[in-house]
Amino acid sequence: MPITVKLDDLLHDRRMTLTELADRVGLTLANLSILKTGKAKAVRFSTLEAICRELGCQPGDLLGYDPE
Amino acid sequence: MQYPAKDPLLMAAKTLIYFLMGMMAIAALALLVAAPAVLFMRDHVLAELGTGFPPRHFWLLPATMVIGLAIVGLVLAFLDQLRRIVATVGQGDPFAPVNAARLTRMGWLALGFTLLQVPVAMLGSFLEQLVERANSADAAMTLDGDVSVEGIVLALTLFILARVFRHGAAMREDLEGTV
Repeated sequence: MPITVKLDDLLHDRRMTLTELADRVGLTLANLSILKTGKAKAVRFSTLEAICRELGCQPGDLLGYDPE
Repeated sequence: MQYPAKDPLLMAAKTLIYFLMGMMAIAALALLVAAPAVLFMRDHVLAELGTGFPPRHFWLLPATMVIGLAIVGLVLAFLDQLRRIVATVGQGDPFAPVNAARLTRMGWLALGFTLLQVPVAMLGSFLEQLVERANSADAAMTLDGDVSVEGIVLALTLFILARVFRHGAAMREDLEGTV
């Protein structure tokens, strides 16, 4: 998938677990795992907003594009 | 979305479906027994129908029963498909693609048992006339069988619903993997 999700790095920098983030953004752990492992097909803006709010980052910090 | 395990509407639907399937099974059994019995006891049945009943038309009785058995079979299959759809609703997955196929099948089954009512109506009506003419004050016969516009409307509704479900399943698949 050319769109990459850099959630691992952001969580590590903020010393936060995936479970904690899931609770804060109101997503299930399963769905957040889908996002983290790059298996998501689409992300809602509301989800992106919630993650950026909790991690204090920009969407560009979270998502990347790698054509290879 | 998971429906509550004890959703009263689903419980009522399941209960009614099982009850109707039971009734249809009993009707099928009765017809399975009666049709050959009528042939086996031809003379006795002819006597009951009245001395004026033309023996050459005796075949109408088992023929009507056989068509009746086919109708009951189709209704049983219809109810079985409905039972399976209700089960998926209880599991929280009504837009499974298989339900679109089930609805289409139900449409064809509804069309089938509606159309089969036509020969039953015709044969039944003819039989009633013969029995009346055969001087049978004691052996009056009534056979119900009307052409049902509601059945045709039901079949059409089911075909359209099948398309709705197919579309819903496609939309749901599109949403899979959206966070």
